[in-house]
Amino acid sequence: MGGGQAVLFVVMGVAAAVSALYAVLTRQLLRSIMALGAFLTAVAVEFYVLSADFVSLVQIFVYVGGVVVLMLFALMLSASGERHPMAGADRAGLGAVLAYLVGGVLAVTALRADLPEPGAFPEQTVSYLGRALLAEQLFAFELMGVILLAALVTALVVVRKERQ
Amino acid sequence: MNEPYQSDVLFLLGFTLAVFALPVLTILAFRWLRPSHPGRLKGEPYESGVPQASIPRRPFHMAYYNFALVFIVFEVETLLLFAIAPVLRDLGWVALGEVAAFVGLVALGLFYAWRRGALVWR
Amino acid sequence: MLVERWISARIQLRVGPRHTGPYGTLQTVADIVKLLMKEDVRPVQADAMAFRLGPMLTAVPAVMSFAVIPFGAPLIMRDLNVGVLYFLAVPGVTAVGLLLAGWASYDNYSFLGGLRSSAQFISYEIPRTLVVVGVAMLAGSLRMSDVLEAQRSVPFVLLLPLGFVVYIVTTLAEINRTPFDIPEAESELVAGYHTEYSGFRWALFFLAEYGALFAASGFAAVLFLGGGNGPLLPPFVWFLIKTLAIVFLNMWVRWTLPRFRSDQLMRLAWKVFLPLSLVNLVLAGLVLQAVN
Repeated sequence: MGGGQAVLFVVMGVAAAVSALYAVLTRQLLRSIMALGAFLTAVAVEFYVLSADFVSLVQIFVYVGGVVVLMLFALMLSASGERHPMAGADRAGLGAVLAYLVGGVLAVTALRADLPEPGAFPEQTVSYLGRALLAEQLFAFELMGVILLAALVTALVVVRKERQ
Repeated sequence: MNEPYQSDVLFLLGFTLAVFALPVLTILAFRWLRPSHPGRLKGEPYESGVPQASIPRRPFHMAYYNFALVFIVFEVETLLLFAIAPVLRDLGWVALGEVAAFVGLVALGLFYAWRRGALVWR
Repeated sequence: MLVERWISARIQLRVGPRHTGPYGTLQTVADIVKLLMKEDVRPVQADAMAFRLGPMLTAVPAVMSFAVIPFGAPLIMRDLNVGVLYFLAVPGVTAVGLLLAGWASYDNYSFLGGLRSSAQFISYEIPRTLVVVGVAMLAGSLRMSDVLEAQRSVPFVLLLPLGFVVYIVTTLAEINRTPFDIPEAESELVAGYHTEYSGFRWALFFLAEYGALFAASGFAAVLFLGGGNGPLLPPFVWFLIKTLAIVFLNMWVRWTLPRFRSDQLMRLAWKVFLPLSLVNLVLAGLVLQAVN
């Protein structure tokens, strides 16, 4: 990792952490969603800095242009106003304990993981990814198709149920 | 790390900042030049001269949400296809068949949503 | 913008702008100055932050998408490895901007307009993106210069005519132009999501629409018409001719056709264009086999 790259990485990491904190701490739902969008964008930039350009754009495409939009729809259609549903919720304590648990496990795993030294990056990560998906990762590729189909079916079933 | 790639990163960041900064600076700069006479009536939402009959913060069509859900699933499928599209040219028809199977799954999902009436706007 | 007003006037048998400068050529400059000097009105109940962020998030992605468009052989800001995907991903953020603007205004028309715009936006995004997958298959790359290189002998419009048509129509829909401009149906929703905006902030939405129109047309020229490829003339001129041809097509459609209804629009996106784009994908596969 070069010097400039490291600086960018740290700066964007801090930006991601700050916006994530804001998303959790603000009492206004709209602000929370926007902070989430900022967080996701910062993570996308991190990907780009780490030479995963394809993944970075996928992140923008799916999360910022998809998931954030979905959340905004949810907020606007439910008209709960800008008040955060968690504000003053009586199960906030339980949520906090769960969050710390999950976070703790993730942190420990990440710190203890035996990460391989990054080797030389392929010139074009896309074609590398594409080849892998059609050769050694073929099963995973087709499985993703099945899982996405299942996700679609489930989503539609749940939505239908709630309408009745 | 290859140099051109890193300069791409810097360029994109700089360009983004510049594009964001320009309108903000313009708005700030013209703050002193443009008139500002806020009034009670002016601050009302414009609804063709009729006083606002209902507040726009009310429950609304679920349909929008449903479409967004379906959208995300298809979006992810499309992006997976994007990952494999550039290499297909060099891989021959076995790979093409593998992709065809995947596209078949996408079509199946579309067919299901269609039959379920999820694509009907109401 | 000026040209659009000329064309609209011609088609609707009006005179169009004539008085500012020779043949009204300075009309745009006059408009911009006027807009900058206008008062910046904001509804009292509007959410200040979202109200400001909305137009920004609509206009900025449109301008940013120009970064990867090859205006002719060497004239490209950045020839990214994933330029094609960048062009599709970055403007996707616009949906967020439209929603925020509509919501923040605290106005029923804006609210509805914002919802409709973004719903339409995401619906047409799928077929539009899928069509481009076909192009990426034939080009064997997501890099703009490679896409152009692959079309040196045959432009892709001849190989994927269906894809070209779907791309043009879905693009029209995505940037909310007639016959797909239900979100800002003037007779029904006043001006849609930007009803409450005035002055420079309103201009940002305007800029976003035209920026997106030109960017998307340029992108179409590169993907399907071979961009700057062409005999005799320099690449930049070829690119410009092809882009402007598509822009003109857009404007022509806009000022000629009536408007669709909301449910028709959504049905069209999911039940016509999405299947068509899948068919286009299959066709692209067949073409690929034929070429190999």
